[in-house]
Amino acid sequence: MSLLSSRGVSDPATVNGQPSPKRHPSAAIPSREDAWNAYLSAEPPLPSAPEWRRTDYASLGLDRLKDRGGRPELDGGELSIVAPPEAVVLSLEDALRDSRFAAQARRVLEADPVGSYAKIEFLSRALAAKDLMVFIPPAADSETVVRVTARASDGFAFPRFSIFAAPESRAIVIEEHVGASSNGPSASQAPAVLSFSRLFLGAGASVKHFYLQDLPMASRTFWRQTAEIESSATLAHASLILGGALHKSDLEVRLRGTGAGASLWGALMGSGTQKFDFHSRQVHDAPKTQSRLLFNAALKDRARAVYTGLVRIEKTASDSDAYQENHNLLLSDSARADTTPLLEILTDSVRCKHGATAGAPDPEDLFYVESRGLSPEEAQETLVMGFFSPLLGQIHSPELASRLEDRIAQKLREQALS
Amino acid sequence: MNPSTQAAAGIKTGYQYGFHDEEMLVFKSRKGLDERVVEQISHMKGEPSWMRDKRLEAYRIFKSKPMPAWGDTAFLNAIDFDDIYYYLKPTEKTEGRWEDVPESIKNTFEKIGIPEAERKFLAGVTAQYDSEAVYHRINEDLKKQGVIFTDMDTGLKEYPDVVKRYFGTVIPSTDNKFAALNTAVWSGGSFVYIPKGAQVAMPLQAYFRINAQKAGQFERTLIIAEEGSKVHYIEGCTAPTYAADSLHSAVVELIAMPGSHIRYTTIQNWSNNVYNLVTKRAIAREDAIVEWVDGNLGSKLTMKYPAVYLVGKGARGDILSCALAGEGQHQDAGAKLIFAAPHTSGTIISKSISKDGGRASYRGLVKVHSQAHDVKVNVRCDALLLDEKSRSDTYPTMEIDSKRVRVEHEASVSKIGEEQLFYLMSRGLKEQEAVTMIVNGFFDQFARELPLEYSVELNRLIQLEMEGSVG
Repeated sequence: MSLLSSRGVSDPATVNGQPSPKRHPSAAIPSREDAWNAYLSAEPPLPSAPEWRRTDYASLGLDRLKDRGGRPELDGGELSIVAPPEAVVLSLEDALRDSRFAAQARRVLEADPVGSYAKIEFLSRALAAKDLMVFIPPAADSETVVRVTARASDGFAFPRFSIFAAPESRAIVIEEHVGASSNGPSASQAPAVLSFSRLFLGAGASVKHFYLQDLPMASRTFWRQTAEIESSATLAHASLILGGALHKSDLEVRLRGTGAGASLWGALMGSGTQKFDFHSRQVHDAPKTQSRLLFNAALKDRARAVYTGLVRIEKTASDSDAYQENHNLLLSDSARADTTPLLEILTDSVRCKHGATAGAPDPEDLFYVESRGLSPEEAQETLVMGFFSPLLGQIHSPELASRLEDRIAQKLREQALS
Repeated sequence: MNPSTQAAAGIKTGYQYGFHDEEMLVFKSRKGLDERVVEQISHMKGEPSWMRDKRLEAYRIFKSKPMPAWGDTAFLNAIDFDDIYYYLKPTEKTEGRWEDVPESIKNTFEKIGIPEAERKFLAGVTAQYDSEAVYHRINEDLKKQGVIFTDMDTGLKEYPDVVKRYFGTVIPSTDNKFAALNTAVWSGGSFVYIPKGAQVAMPLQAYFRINAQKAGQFERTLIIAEEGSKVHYIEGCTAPTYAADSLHSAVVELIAMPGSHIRYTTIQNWSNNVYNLVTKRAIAREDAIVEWVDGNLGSKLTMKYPAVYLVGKGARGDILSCALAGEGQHQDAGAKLIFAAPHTSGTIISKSISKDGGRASYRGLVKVHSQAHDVKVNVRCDALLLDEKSRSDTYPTMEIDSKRVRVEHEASVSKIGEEQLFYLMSRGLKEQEAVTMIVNGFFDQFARELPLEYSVELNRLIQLEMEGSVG
């Protein structure tokens, strides 16, 4: 197994925590200083931007960074990527110098941050300890299993990575964002984790990606992932969101080649005063593409979930098929759910559907389960666990699925602190 | 018989109301808008000072509010507010007898189909030509019941207390830029008052027509249904086809008192150069029922989201809308249901068709406030795309702050099924006929809610729209 782990303090691109001047003039890597200046000069996103209608940019607490006299401090978090020997894990800088991977690295580098996340992305470029690249070769007999772990203690963490799945490759990527303590999240820690990741699926590649966010309840998290999927490649994404005072995420999937497909499963269990703002984008760019999305939110106490999802079928994407579904289970009178499933269809030869629901558990369902001898609390728990089963069913490892089931049940039983 | 009628160049084939009469106006305000024009409108109408002040206040709000940053901003920003005539007075007074309406205006309305429709069916009719009502009639029996159905200007003159009490209470000037504009320059529209327990069996009807070029029409409608009463109001809209655009920006306020039932039906068939930016909202009190039945066939850009605020226990709001977007058209239509009381319910059904590069958008809001438990709401949007150039969007928002609710939303977008077409053509229909039949079937749920002759008219309009759209 090759192991590549990095911590901010040992990053060679900085001296005494200060960004160094341009060190790679030939490779034209924008320096941390450039990124920092771009971050400072970029306007904060307007509340009218669709991605920021329900979350105040200021609530991420990034202004705290600027107050340190314009001297960016590096990433206090830790990002580790563990992959079997057939895969190659490199830093962006090393990938640029390697003729086998330079083209892909440049593709990452040259994607200039645009839109309402640009300011945060510049910040991430300025402060991330490393930008890691994982290259997965064409499939051997079995799937390549890549484990991405982002650990955060206190302060800011900026995980950044890209995964290139070569044509016809097969991979399982398990991405976990957890607190620094190995004994599970502790409420005393208040990290802010801002993550940017990119998946590139070559023609015919198959990637299963699982993302678990189980950070301490006091943390603030921002997670953005983009996936570009070429012909006949398929992505199966599943995410489970449990932690954080504020969790904001944005998953964007672009189906760029004929016959590309994506199935996206998400679920969250909210309690206390947690707030979740989840965005998804299913963009169909090519003919005969397929996408499916199911996002379920169970909310107790005063938790609040916002879901905004867009299906966009471009003119070039005839004979495409898209599905988008969002369900919200409200387990207390003070829980809140907002849902905005959007469709933009620019060609006619499509099948496109979406559905959304919100409400308390169905009394008839509860009655049925109780009639089997369960207490009202047990009956409710049974229904809530059933709500998570589509997601858990997507997880390839029974051991992981059962661990997650326990975590959900634990969170469901916890009494609110307030 | 009608020498002033002429077909304008560039009319979309099939728009039968594209003719225009030569302008023979008693008064026409100068182009553009400022406080003087607003004062002039109020002065010409001999209004009480509170209304003049309301207009001036609204004008200032209109000036201070930015254009909406959402929706079809490209179309919206093309509106030149300085290039519009805000007040056009076609006749000295509103006539009670059809014979007394000026010949040219009468011809126009006869072409559109009143008063034949009235003779056959309707309980009362108001016809508005440019800014003012030109003809008004109400059935004797309704008068006896105490039903008031008149144009808004007459309403203000004869029932100033009622108007003052309710005007702008559902849609204040501050609501949005176009509601402010309407409040500043409103003219005409309907004033309807249904006394306690009165049942109006036949629909009340209004026709709105823009005749002059670059004209604005800003009708203001207020309907109050007292406890236990019932009324159905229908409006139809047309305009000639000019090269220059017109602006129609109405405000419609409905107040449904406990146990009352209001149904409001619109068949909007403006010509394809009219900006149709309308605010329609109803307040439904305890056990009241409000229904919006909203058909959008014409206009260049329509932005219209009829709303029901369910503020009384047991109230219900149903919104049924259909839209057909053809070449150069954007139908940005939708619905809003705001639940602010327990045991309330509602449905939204939206049907849209896009063809020849047209764009149909559903934009809607369902909001359930925390005090509104035991709420049921169902939203269903179906869109049909007839060709690859056209576009369909669905922009619903649901905000749920209460646990004991059941909110369901479903939408689908598709094209006409090959199998359906094949089946119909195997029965001997031409492709054109088969497509038209499928489209009519798609709108059937909507058409069934209309009075018979409206339903027939809708089918005919769809048929006209569909001509030449296949092959």
